[in-house]
Order: sequence, then structure tokens, then C-alpha cells
Amino acid sequence: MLYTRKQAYWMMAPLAVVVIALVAFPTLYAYFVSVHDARLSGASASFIGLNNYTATLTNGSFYGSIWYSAKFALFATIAELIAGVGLALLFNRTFRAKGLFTSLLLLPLMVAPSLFALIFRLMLNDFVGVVPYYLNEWGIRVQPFDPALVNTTLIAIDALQWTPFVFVIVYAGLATIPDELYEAARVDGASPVQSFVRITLPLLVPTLAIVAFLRGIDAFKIYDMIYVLTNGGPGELTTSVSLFIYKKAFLEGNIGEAAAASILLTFILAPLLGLAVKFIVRRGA
Amino acid sequence: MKTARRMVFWLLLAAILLVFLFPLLLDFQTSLKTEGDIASFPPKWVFTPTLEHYENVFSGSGYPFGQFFLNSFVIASGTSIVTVLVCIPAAYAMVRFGVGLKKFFSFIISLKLLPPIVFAIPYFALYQFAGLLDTRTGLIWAAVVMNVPLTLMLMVGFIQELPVEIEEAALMDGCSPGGILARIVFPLIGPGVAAAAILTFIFTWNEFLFVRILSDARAMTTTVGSTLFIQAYGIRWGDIAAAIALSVLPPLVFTFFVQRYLVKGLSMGAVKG
Repeated sequence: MLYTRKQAYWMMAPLAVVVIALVAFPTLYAYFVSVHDARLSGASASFIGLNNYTATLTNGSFYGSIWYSAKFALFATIAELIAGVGLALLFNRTFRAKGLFTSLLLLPLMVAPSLFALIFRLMLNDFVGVVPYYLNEWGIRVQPFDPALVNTTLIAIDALQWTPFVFVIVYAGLATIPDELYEAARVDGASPVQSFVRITLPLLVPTLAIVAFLRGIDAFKIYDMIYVLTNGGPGELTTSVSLFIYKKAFLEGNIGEAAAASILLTFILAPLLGLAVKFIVRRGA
Repeated sequence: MKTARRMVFWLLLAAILLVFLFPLLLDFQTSLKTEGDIASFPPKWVFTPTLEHYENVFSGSGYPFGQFFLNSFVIASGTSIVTVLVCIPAAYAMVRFGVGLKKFFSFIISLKLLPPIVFAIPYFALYQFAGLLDTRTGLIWAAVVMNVPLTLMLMVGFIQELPVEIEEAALMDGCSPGGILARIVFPLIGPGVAAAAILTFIFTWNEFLFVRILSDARAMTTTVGSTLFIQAYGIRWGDIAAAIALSVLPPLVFTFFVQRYLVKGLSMGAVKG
């Protein structure tokens, strides 16, 4: 043993203090706020018991927003998986300046989602945007933020930003598949499609599961991009659960109910997150 | 046949890169156009570049963009420093002693999985009460919460790879426990620490939700500051484009330094909030 256990606890102390100060205390405070009629104005709030909870639990928009986040996460993840695997397969060969191209492809990941979205406000703008202009030129008249198209638009933008993430991880996964398997398959007369379906795909399943899972969790949290592009509209059509809570607190000014909704959301997500944490800890450690 | 296939490959690659980088390129291009060139239909691809929007962003826009920029730097650097400083000793204690490796570690990871809005609401209420709204200090602490999980995971990973024998030898030679951490462990995991600090910097620089909620004017950063231009006096696309170009630059430059750790950092952290 290098040190005494006591020393180990001292090493843990800074992090423990930070976590208590930044997580435990605010969480307790959230419970306190959630049973009060707390308002944005900060005026002294009266105790109202579980009213904020019942208000949230009887609010269809709360469930609607959770459902929207889940749907968005599902479709964005599927789109990004397909595109990312395609890209990884394309890059899974030797060619000139591959390192440079790989790096370039990763750049969208490092742009703030809010700013990425802001660029699309420019690109899709009716008056100065290049996308509507050229679509019009080719005789395609579409309104990207129309109710019928707005979700496709948002998912496409999310995919442009995050497909590179799927790409690098799948690409790293592909590199671990031994070449001998493909050689053997070729000798046995397998077509490229057959080797993909019979060799690549099965061996890639664990990697794909990890990526899908990470992207899914992240997409569920979506806030920045939607806030900048549609602010949850038209109507409530694109209101994710993060945006729902935000609006509750800062448009309606009802901090108490927003706190209650946050707490309820953590309860709803708890079983899923418990599984996720187990999975990550096992993989990481 | 072979050349034809190669041609197709390169064309495909060029098309893909164009699609993924087009937003950034277009923004940069727009930032160099005059308002007239931006509004011209059909879009102009050849034009005389101008830096007027960059000047405008800093001096004539009506927003203290220089201040936003400084705030971004202070908040992102402060968050990196605090996060790394609390995570290194903790990660060390977890790896070498198993203290808190099971429950505490899992709990911290779970923080990364929850939607940040769940934290933002109590922070707002608490900061309102404590007078921390619209302060850099408040934003640094809020960002620390979001970045501790990833940094801790990376640190635990790096320290696990260190052979304990070196430290035992140092202890024999009379090195104090603090000295071991400072003189042996820290230098050995140095590159990893730098990578974690830079990733934290980038994520904090890009942070939007917390800044949107917890700042108002004085502590606002460039990510939120850039969106202000859009509701302002008409829409001045050139200024917005220049503001965006300036705001994405530091993360893009820093990415260069953490290439090697990028995938690990991104995937372990379930990316960002």
C-alpha cells in the first residue's frame, strides 16, 4: 500500500465538496422550489404542496415533449447510423491524404450546436439563403420550416453535425476486424455484399450499439439547435422536453413548476440511466 | 476500369466533404461579403472580400462582442482549471485505493446523462437567491458540473494505465504522497490532462443553455451573444456571419491539439450538453 486510506479520502475531498456544492445542494433546493409557487420575478413564494407536480403530470404538453424528444432521438440516431456507417466503409481503404480528410470531416463536431443552427438560419433564409434559391431554380418549392417538413429539416441538420461522430467510432471499429476473415471469404467466393452482411455487420454490432446509445442519449437532450431554429414551433410541433421546461420557467415564469417537471423527468429517466451507467462503467473500467 | 473507379471514389469523397463543410465555408464566405453581395440574387460566388463585418462586430454592432469574447475565454479557462484540479486527486484515489470507484463514480457519470435543463432550473433559482446570476463565477461553477464526469473518466483511464511500481520506488526514496502526485503522476499523465482540459475548454466555450439562462449581459459568451444579432435591428447577416466565424475559431484551432484524444473524449462523455 502506498498511502493510508485517510490520505485517499483527502484526495477525494475536493471533488466531493464540489459535487455536494454543485449537485446535492441545488438538487435539494430544486425540491424546495418545486413545492412552492416560485416565480421568475423572485418574489417570495408560498408553499403549495404537490400542486406543481399534479399540474405537470396532468399537462399533455409535458408528455408530448418527452415523446417528441424520444422520436427525435430515434430518427436522428437512425439517420446518423446509416450515414456514418456508409462513410466509415468508404474510408476503410488506403488513399492519399486520408488523415487530412478524416480531420476535416470531424470539424462539424467541434462547432457549437447553437452556432451550427444559426448558420442554417442564414442558409435556409427565404431572402438571402442559398438553399431556397437553388431549390427554387430547380423547380423545387419547399418551405423547410413548414409543419410538414420541419422535423426532416431539424434531423437533417442534426445529422450533418453528428454523422462524423458515428463515422469515427465505426471507422475505429472496422479497423479491428482482421483482414484474414475477408480474405477467407473471398477465397470461398463471397461477394462484397455477402462479406459485408455476413462478416462486417455481425462484428460491428457492439460498436453500433455503443454509438446508437450515445447518440440517442445526446439527441434526447436536444435544446440549443431547436431553440435557435424553431423555438419549439410551429405551435408545439418541435418542443423537446428541454425546451418545454425552459418555456415553463422563462416564458411562463413558473420556476416552481419547471423544477417539478425537471424532477419528474429525472424520475422517468432514472431506470434507463441506471442501465446506461452500468454499461458505461463496465466498458470504461 | 480501375481509373474510372478511382475517379468515382474521389468525386464521392469531394461531394461528401463539401456537404459536411458547406455550412462552415458558407458562413465564412458570407462574413467577407458586403450586405449588398449577401442579398444579391443569384448568390454571388465571386466578390471583393471585405472585413467590415469583423470591425462591425467589435465596434459598431451595439453589442459588446469583445466583452463576450473575453467572457468566453475566462469562463472556459476557469472551468478547465477547476475541473482538472478536482478530478486528478480524486481519480488517483479511485484507481489506487478503490475509494468511491463503484457508487460515487457511477453517480458522477449519471450527471452527464441527464438533460442539462434539469440542472439549469435549480441553478437559476439558487443563483437568483445567492446573487450569482450573470456572473462569470456562476457560469464557471455550472460548467464544472457538466465537465467533471468526462474529465474524471479520462483521468481514471489514464491513471489505470500507469504502472504502480514507479510510485512505489519514489515512495522508497522518500517522496511524500503529495510529491508523488505532483512530480510523478502528473507529468506522466500530462498529455492526457492537457487533452481533457482542452476538451473541457471547447465544450464550455460552445455551451449555450446555461449561458442563455444564467447570464443576461455582463457574463454573456459568444455562443449566446451571436444569436442576439438575429433579433436586433433588422437582420444583418454579415455581422452575424462574422460573429459566428469568430466564435467557432478557438474550438476549431484547439481541436488540432486533441485529435488523438478526440474520439475517446467524445464517446466517453456521450458528447456534450
